[in-house]
Amino acid sequence: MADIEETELPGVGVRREFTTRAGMRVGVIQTRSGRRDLLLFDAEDVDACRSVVPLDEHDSDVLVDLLGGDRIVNDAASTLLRLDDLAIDWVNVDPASASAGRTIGDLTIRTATGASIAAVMVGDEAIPGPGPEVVLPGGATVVAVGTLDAVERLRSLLGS
Amino acid sequence: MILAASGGDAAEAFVQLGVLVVALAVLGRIAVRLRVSPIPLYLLAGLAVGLLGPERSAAATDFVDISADIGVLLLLFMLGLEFTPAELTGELRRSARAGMLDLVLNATPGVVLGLVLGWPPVACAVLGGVTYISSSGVVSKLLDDLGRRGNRETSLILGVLVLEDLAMIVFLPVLGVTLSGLGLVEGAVDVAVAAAIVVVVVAVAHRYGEHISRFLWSGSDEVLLLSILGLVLLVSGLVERADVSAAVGAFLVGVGLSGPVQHRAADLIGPLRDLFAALFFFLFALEIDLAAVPGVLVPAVVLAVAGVVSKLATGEVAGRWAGRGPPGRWRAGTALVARGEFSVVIAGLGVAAGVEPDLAPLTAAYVLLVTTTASVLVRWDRPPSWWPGTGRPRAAMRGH
Repeated sequence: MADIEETELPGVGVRREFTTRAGMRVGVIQTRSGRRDLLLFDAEDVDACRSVVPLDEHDSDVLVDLLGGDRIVNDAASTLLRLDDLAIDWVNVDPASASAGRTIGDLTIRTATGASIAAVMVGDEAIPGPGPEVVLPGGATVVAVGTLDAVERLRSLLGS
Repeated sequence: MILAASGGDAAEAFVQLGVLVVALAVLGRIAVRLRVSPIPLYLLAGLAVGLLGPERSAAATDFVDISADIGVLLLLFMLGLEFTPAELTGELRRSARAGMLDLVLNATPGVVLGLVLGWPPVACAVLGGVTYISSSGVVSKLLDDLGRRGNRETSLILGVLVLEDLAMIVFLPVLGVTLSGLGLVEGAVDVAVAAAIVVVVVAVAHRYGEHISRFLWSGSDEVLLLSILGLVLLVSGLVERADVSAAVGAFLVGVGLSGPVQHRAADLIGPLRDLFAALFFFLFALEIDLAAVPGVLVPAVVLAVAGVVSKLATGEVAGRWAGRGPPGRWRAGTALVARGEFSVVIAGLGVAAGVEPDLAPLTAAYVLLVTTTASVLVRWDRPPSWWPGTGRPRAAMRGH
């Protein structure tokens, strides 16, 4: 993780900046009003910005999507979202697990773990909202929704 | 019958006010086109009307008089509003050194020139305030217009502005009491009363600011506008009755508001402030005794040169302390050069107390000269070759 330098801007907000691995200085001002400014610093005049991109909340969301979209797919093992009493996580079905190759109904997943399976992904194919008849082959990835504990129970059931 | 009589008077007042506001609008338009602060142009308008001396209706004159006073209140209210108490205390720790430097370097020219001209000590203090304080309105607009919000010297500039704000919390009440011209004992008592009021208001604002703000909050802009304006006028009036300047009260109300009320207040009161403040600048210049103007021109030029150099030096030295490069230090200095609304406000307090007849013309000439110079200087992104702070080009000193 890069070092993030934080500077208070009284009356404006907070500026956070870091140096990219390629050596560029990039920053974001989070203003009080919710607007964000994306900053690209100048290489020569290091205190100045080469460009400032003002982003409203919608723009920021779009940019986060563009920057984060690939990583989510590539990094299926990481927790996507964890709120106080809601966890949404990606769980891999271990081919060596006793559960591999059985259906959701067989495994009585909801009853056994408390977690629900929102989607099953096998290779390139996604099955959103799978019924009890859907098979969980080894190597598949499921999107699990539930409490943190429930998702953890599901993780051990699917043996990954 | 009554309607007809007052109607004639009102008609005259409307026409005169209309001409005045339209003239100010035209000047504002020119300022926007030239991308300079409109304040010098408003001052020139006041001087011009003073020179031509048209006949003024009593109703219009009364309106402009009270509007100008309200303009001062709203200017200071918005100044206080700019920063939260947390930011004020936080920045006091971070930027104290830069703030002290700014105070020493920039108040000195005014005080020294006052002494040289043989003015009474109070007038020297007022002139020190005039040369000291940057125009936070002009500075923040400039940072936006030139796309320098993200620059690293910006935190330094804002820190200095916050410290100037804090200095005003101390300076305004003390000045207000000193200007009331009481003897040593009564003066001391009044300073104590003023200090007590300030301490109480700041403490209340710090502890209960959020509650007050939540109480004031309304989803309706109309209700919120009336609540805030009413509070500003009421507190200012009460504080003035306690012999502390009303301006201090307005300023402290601004400091006290926080959260959503703070944001909406800036949007809602901003346009009102623009109207009343324009009338204040106009009236300030209108009341200047034109016969005194030629006599202050030389001191004004000296003061303007000193005032520009002292702010550039502030940016240079404080920027060096903060590890900024030569261009950043130069930009910090040039941004701070702009003086404007608060110099005129401070001088206005002195003029109202009648401390020194030359104060108004000298301040007007000073603000005109410095603001014009500032609007030229900020166009340079980098220091010109004659500036001694240029030094070596720095590519190796990235970050810290």
